[in-house]
Amino acid sequence: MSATGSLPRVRVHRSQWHRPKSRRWFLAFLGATGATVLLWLLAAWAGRLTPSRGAGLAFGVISAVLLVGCMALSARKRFKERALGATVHWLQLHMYGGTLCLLFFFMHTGFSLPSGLQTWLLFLLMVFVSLSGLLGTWLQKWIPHALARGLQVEAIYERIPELVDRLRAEAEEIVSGGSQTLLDFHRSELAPTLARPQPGLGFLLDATGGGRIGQMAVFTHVASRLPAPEKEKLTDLRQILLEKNNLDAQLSLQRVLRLWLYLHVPASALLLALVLAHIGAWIYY
Amino acid sequence: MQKFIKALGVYQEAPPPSIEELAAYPVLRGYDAALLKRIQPHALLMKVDKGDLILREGEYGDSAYYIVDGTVEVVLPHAIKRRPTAEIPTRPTRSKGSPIGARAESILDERKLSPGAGQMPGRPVRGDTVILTTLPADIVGTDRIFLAKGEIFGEISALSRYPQSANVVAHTDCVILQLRVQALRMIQKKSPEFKEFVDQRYRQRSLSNHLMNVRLFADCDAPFIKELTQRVQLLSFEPGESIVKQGDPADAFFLVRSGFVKVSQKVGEVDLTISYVAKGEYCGEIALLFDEPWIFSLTAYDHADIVKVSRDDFQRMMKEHPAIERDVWEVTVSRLKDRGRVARTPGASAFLQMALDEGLIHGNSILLIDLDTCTRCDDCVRGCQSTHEGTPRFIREGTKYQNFLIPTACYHCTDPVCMIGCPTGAITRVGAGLQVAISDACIGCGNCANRCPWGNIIPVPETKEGKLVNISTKCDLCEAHDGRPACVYNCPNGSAMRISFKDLDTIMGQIDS
Repeated sequence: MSATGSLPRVRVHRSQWHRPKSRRWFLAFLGATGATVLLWLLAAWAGRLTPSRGAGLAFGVISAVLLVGCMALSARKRFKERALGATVHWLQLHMYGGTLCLLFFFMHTGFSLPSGLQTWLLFLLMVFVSLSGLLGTWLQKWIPHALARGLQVEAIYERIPELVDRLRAEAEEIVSGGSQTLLDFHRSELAPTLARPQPGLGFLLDATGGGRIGQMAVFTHVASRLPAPEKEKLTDLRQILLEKNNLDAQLSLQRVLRLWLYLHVPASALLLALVLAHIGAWIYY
Repeated sequence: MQKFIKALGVYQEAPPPSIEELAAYPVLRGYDAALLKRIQPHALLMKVDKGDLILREGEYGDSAYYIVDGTVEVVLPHAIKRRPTAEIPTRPTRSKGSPIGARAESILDERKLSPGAGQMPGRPVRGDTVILTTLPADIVGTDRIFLAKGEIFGEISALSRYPQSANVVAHTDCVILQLRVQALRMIQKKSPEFKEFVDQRYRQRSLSNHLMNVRLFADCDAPFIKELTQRVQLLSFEPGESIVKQGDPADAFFLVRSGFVKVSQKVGEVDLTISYVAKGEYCGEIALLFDEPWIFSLTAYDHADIVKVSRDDFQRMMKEHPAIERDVWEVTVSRLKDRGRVARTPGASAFLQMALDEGLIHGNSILLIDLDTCTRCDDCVRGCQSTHEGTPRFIREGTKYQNFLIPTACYHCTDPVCMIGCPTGAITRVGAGLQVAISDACIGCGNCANRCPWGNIIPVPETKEGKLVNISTKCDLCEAHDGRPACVYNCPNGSAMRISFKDLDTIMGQIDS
């Protein structure tokens, strides 16, 4: 037995990034969705559904409660109270609860388009938050997989510029005192690449930086013009360039993981505010 | 040689005496000047005041102590706890001038020692006698005994890396020659008499207990064990030294008493690491069972002490104890499976070699991050940080193996070298498991951080009693916070896990197959 209980579930060799992280949560979600649809069918069979009364109103309330429940993830992350339970369950609740929230929202509206400005805003924000959430779920599954499998180098996001600086210094040390050919090669081909981190959207298509591998072909060309003792230096420079490429990929993809939150979180906060305003308006009028 | 003198209540280093002075001590008499010169950096002369603590029960020692003058008292811990605060002993510390840690009271009070099974020979109680497995005498009928001038103690604990089995306190003002483990190994190598002396004492005091702690011998009766202790050979190997070569005739069964032994096999031109054998485990049974030459090579990975059981004794043991025979066959089948797996999948050998190189084989609780699911959100670090007053106890950087990251975090080793020689006893095992933690008694000497071969102890500047010191910090598995590691608890993706090396090896085995 491990220190923390039974053997942990780990993902290796078999590609599982497209599968649910927790089978139990996924089955619970399917069950809840089935029950919700059944509930809606029963309510629709019993009579006409309107958002402001009876079952329609109840669906709206449930949707609002689920929305607040989803928002609690960020509170859990901020207040690291152990009594609140492991974060892994909160994230599952956030994702599946968010999806159910959307379903209840549509059941609340009776699967029809809104009529007023406020409800249109609510509708669009709900759809945007849900879609950005789904995008985030996919990114959070796919990017770690791409980083883990495609790259040799693992780096902390904030430290990447410093690591690139180190690679640059290392390359300069290798070429110092070398032949003119090597110096020229470094100045024209390597120095610009090693000067600073160069994130690019191309890494989203291929984490290994396939588009930049063409640069490696230059090494073969230069190697033929270098004296034998300098060929080893060229091998080291090639490794440095590969590591730099890996660092650029890390920077690019980890940045996407961070920037995605700027789509999802502010929109969610705005959605919550609008939902509260909507509830307030309903009570007032 | 260095000296400890006590000034202002704290032991401090003093200029060393000469090699001539060293040669005058009976324990080192007769050794040539060249050996004494090599021993010199690893020897210390201590002038210990009456009542001061020399060894603390449960602590890992790296030295033997020769009593040059005076008397020391061996005391069980409950006897110390009964004393009034003013009488609680101090102990020599290598800190220069710092009053922190001079008193042992708080340390003794906060100790919650419970070493795990198989870690140390226990302290068996027979009637009214307590057998002190790592000390040269038993406690009969009372809770203390005395050792006088000319006695040596602590050598079994130092050489076999077992925790001390009792406290040792200066009964009178004493002069004590402290010989570190490096010096002991040099003397052992040079002097067969000294090795014989140490081995004999180990046979008398610890071996039977050690054997009885090994699962294989658990069902054997006491007379058989006693007889076996007299018949076995005790061998020591330097790191990298060959113990057995593949193809050697099978003539013995080996039990590892301390250290790690690498098991490898030549497949074609490649030497594949098949597995390793740790303290308390055994090897050699396959060759004996099948009556064929060794199919593996054994190499000492670090200083390894081995108990060699002859073929005749092994066969007698198997004949007389069917339970042992069953156990041995189970292990044999498992090892042959390992061999097949490694031969089929070279990755398995690469993993084991990496585990040996990175020290993972020592790990009771290794932090592992599954990069395939980790979103690099750093919630693990932030969780650790908030649990430990703003200072995270690990760095999310380290070795990457397949899709796993092994960050710079304490492995909570089975054989924690960091615990050797802590001047204040601040680094200890805590809780019910094998967790190693550093208490507030740390004075920032850096001893543990320097000793940790894997760089998992991180010095953090902190002001203590008005002075800026680099306090050692390391993962304590959140022992003080309900024992659930914050890194694991705060990971939203379930990517962070704490795992023993045995479990990690099992998982890697599943991956390879």
